[in-house]
Amino acid sequence: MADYSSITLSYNTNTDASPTWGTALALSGSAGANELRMALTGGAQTASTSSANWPYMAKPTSGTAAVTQLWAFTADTTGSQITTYTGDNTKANVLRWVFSADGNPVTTMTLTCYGDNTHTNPSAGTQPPGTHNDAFSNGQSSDTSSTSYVKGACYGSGLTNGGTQETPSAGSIGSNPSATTGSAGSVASTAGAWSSWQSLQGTTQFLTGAAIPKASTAFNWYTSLVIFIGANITAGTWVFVYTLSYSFS
Amino acid sequence: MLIKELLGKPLQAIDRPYWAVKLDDGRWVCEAHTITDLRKGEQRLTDWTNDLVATDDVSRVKELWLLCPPNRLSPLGNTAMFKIDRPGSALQFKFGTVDSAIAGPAYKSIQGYVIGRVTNTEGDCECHVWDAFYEILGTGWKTNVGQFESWRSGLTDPGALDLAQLGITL
Repeated sequence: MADYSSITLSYNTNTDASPTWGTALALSGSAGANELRMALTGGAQTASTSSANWPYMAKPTSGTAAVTQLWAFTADTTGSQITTYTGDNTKANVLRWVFSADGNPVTTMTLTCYGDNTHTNPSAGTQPPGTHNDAFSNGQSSDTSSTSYVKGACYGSGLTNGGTQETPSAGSIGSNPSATTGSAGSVASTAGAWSSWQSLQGTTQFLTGAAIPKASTAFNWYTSLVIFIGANITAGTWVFVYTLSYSFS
Repeated sequence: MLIKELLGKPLQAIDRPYWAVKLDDGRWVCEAHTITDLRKGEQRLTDWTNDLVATDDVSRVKELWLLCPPNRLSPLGNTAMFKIDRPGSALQFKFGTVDSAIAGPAYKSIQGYVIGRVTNTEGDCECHVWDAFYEILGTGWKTNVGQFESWRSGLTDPGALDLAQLGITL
């Protein structure tokens, strides 16, 4: 079957203008490895902080604030800060999905967030979250108008149906999203352009690529996140997943 | 006996579903067959697009089967089948996800194995789906190839199918 043998997430450890794409986060791995971690500027996090010792983020006493740092760890104590993740829309080269050259896609692809890999739909606005949900993708009525705390954007479909790699220029992505950004259903990108920012909340609010990528061709699909935290998010240790969905023959 | 010949093993010994088709000349083609891809110089499983659509054998399909592994309800495995009366009305695809976690390891998995047939020129179709997460065969799922809806709440809709890649003609 013509599945992609590899789809991984890579991240920029240098500048927006001269990106250095870090070792893609491999599939599976032991605890603490191959994961993204959120942090606030000024915290005790370092490139060798273990997952178990990763510092908590203090939520704002009122309103919402952007999570200001995102890190990628290839092993429990081996990580890098994603330097172009700044909690706003000012950088284009932040994350990219990396596809091997052996897939036969037959639909457009989608991007969204869930509590875990059971892909249980988030319960919009519910805090504390229930089983298989998480505080971030659920959102909260006062903080996020029940949209997800996680906002995302994607650039084209990564590869056009004709086989052209779509790579964004450095610079900002649309208008800076707020904690309440999001609309019901899908927000789709167009060819060679960034989508609008969209709340990533299961099948309730998600992103869709512009086209079905050409088969049997390696490519990168550029994407970015802005994550918020708010006064009314339930405190705790939360895990959520950034999920790419695709179909193949 | 036929299933064992197609799969190379008994149905209860497989750990994922495979599609199989019977062509109008009586010949069977099964995904589980390993073939040599001369273009790539490698051995691989039989592929719907590369081996059925590219050869136009897809227009000669008379029966489309999904051969499924055992589960709690069917310890000997299970099968589902469509008779294909109109050339170009058979369909087959898989739906997959990749989860990159904050925080936790990443996973890539196939969520569903789909076979179906298009029932009219508007693209309406009926499908059988092996849900790999729940390990259960669902039959009679009705949707449309122009906006294929997910069979499971929580998964985004696959959306419009690439008719050319799948060998579908309306």
